[in-house]
Amino acid sequence: MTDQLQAVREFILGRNPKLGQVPDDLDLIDSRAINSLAFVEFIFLLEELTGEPIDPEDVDLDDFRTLNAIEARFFKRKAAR
Amino acid sequence: MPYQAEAAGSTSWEKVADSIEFIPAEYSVKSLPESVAREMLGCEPGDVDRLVGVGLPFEERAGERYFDANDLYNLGMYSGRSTTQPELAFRMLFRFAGRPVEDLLRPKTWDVRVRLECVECAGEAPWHFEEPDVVRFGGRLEDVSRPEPGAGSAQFAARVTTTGARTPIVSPVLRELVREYLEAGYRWQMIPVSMQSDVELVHKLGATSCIAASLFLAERFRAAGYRAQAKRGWFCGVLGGALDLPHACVEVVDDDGALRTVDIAKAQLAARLPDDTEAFRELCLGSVYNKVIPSTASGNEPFGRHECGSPRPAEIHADIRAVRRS
Repeated sequence: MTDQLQAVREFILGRNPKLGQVPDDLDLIDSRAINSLAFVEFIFLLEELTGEPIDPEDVDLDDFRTLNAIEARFFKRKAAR
Repeated sequence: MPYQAEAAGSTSWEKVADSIEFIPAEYSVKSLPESVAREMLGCEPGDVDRLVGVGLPFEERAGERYFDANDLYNLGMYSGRSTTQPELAFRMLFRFAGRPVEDLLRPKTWDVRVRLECVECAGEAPWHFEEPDVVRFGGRLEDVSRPEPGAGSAQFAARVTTTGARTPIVSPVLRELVREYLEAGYRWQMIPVSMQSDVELVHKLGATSCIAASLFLAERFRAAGYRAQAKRGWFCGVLGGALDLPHACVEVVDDDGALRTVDIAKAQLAARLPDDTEAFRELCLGSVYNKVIPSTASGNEPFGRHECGSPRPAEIHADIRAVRRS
């Protein structure tokens, strides 16, 4: 697991200590591990980790649904460039 | 992380509470538990105690305190900490306002999905939905799928193209009325939609909001002899529907016979940003821009209803995403 994804996992666990762990395929939206306002904080975190701005107009919730989706959309894509 | 750094000189919670108007009891819905309040405001249990001590309304259920989401939002928004969730949301959603406005004037296409939900549904019935109304402003409505009669829930979907145009208000009378309102000292607050129709109450509290401001200003325009109406719509680019940001503006027929829109609350909100937002704020006073989808709904009307006779209003949730250019 990358340091970036570990930081994301820690962010989620920090706000949901009862989860204990965050499986890679846990639906973060439907499980409400990330609620609507925490979602904004989460985007700021991803911007910080990737060093790139995220346009709120272009946000597709499916890109944030699971750790797998987050890694594919924000970390792997950047590493491939 | 930089965005978590406490802002220097942040105001005490007591002063913040004193600076905002709490939602009056008749409109207040205390649905957020204390844990969410602490998360929204980034504060400690002792801070919540202090806020309650200076009048933050709450209800106690099963040993836990619950608060109104609007009260918490407004406390965060005016806390001066720069780290609360409402402040972060505001900064992110209004980033565009500090950029060159040319991007707001070009055609832009959105996938719009609206879920209509009938709470306490009484059975099969037709739906009524106030659709996007963009053609009048140079936009397009395509691939429309309308809610079918049924029970429980339904969906509206469409591909909507919006565009913008610089069409500032011509009438000196209208411009003066707008200027008066902007300088009247009303402070934007998050206010429940049901309360926003109580225009007199909102303004008596020294507050303003999209719908209340539009209803108020439409009345002032009509009193000055102009045809004007407050209309509701959707503000796009709010994180794929993760947030709900009501939008309303005034449509007024100007001296040259052309229809102008006045989006006064967005102008007020943009003025709070540290960036130079003057060009965007001027756009709000007569022009149209592509981040707003107007609808057929009047300023104080709901976006939709189910004709089944349920005593509860239908819940309408819009998910609007920009169509990604491939």
